[in-house]
Amino acid sequence: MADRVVRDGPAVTVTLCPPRGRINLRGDAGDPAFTAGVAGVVGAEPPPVANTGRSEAEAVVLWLGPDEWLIEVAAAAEAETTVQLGNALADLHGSVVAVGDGHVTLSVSGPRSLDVLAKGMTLDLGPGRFPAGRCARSLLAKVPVLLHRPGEQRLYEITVARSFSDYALHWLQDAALEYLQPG
Amino acid sequence: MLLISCPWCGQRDESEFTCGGEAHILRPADPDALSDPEWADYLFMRTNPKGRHRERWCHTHGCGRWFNMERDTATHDIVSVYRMGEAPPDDRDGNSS
Repeated sequence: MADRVVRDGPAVTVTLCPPRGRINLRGDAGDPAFTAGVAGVVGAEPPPVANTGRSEAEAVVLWLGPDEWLIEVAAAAEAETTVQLGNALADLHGSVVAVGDGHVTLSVSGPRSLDVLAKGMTLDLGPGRFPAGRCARSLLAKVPVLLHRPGEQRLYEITVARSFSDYALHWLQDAALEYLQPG
Repeated sequence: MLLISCPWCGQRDESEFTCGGEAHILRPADPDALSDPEWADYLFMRTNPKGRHRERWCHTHGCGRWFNMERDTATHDIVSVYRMGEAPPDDRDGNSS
């Protein structure tokens, strides 16, 4: 994907991520049959704690609401995982919807990445406020986004509706510009 | 700009929220039995107080959930936040909702 790296620099890097599969999941987190059914398919129970994510080898499960999660899988696995989840949860009240093509994920990484994001977000991004594994839906430059920090490194993933992706990418590039000037 | 404590997400900026107007307005059990003025009263008439007011808010750009909030319309103080279906916190000041 080197040809899709839009801007590169030591201070901050804004990248368009390769396509990935995404499944919107809704159900009752208090129902053991539901959490076990999800874990049996994707290897992780839906996190009950607000604004947290769970990362496993095959899938990432992000909290969207008290009864709503986003499951990220490989693009090629989306259709099959959706069917498997549907079968596993067939007897329960809930929904499983493949939404991967409707969204685009951008990443912002580097030591100044939070400075770039803070220009357009009202989330508290201060030191220690957005630890590894945290996720949050919010607004970035008025665009509804899902922000996720997958690991300890300073890399933040921003999932936006596909129709907003051009604007969000250009906004991030512009916001990152001042940190990429020589000197 | 208000800093609102979503019952699920914690403190977030007002720009993430949508205000849904006055809370605790019950739909009449038998709308057919109502006169036009009574129906209009249910549909359109609101208390619009200067002071404490119970409202419905939605964390539209966060968890997407509706909840109730009591705030002061004059000072913008947020008195309490409670989830849908929960009883409002005790009304110690004798304020009518």
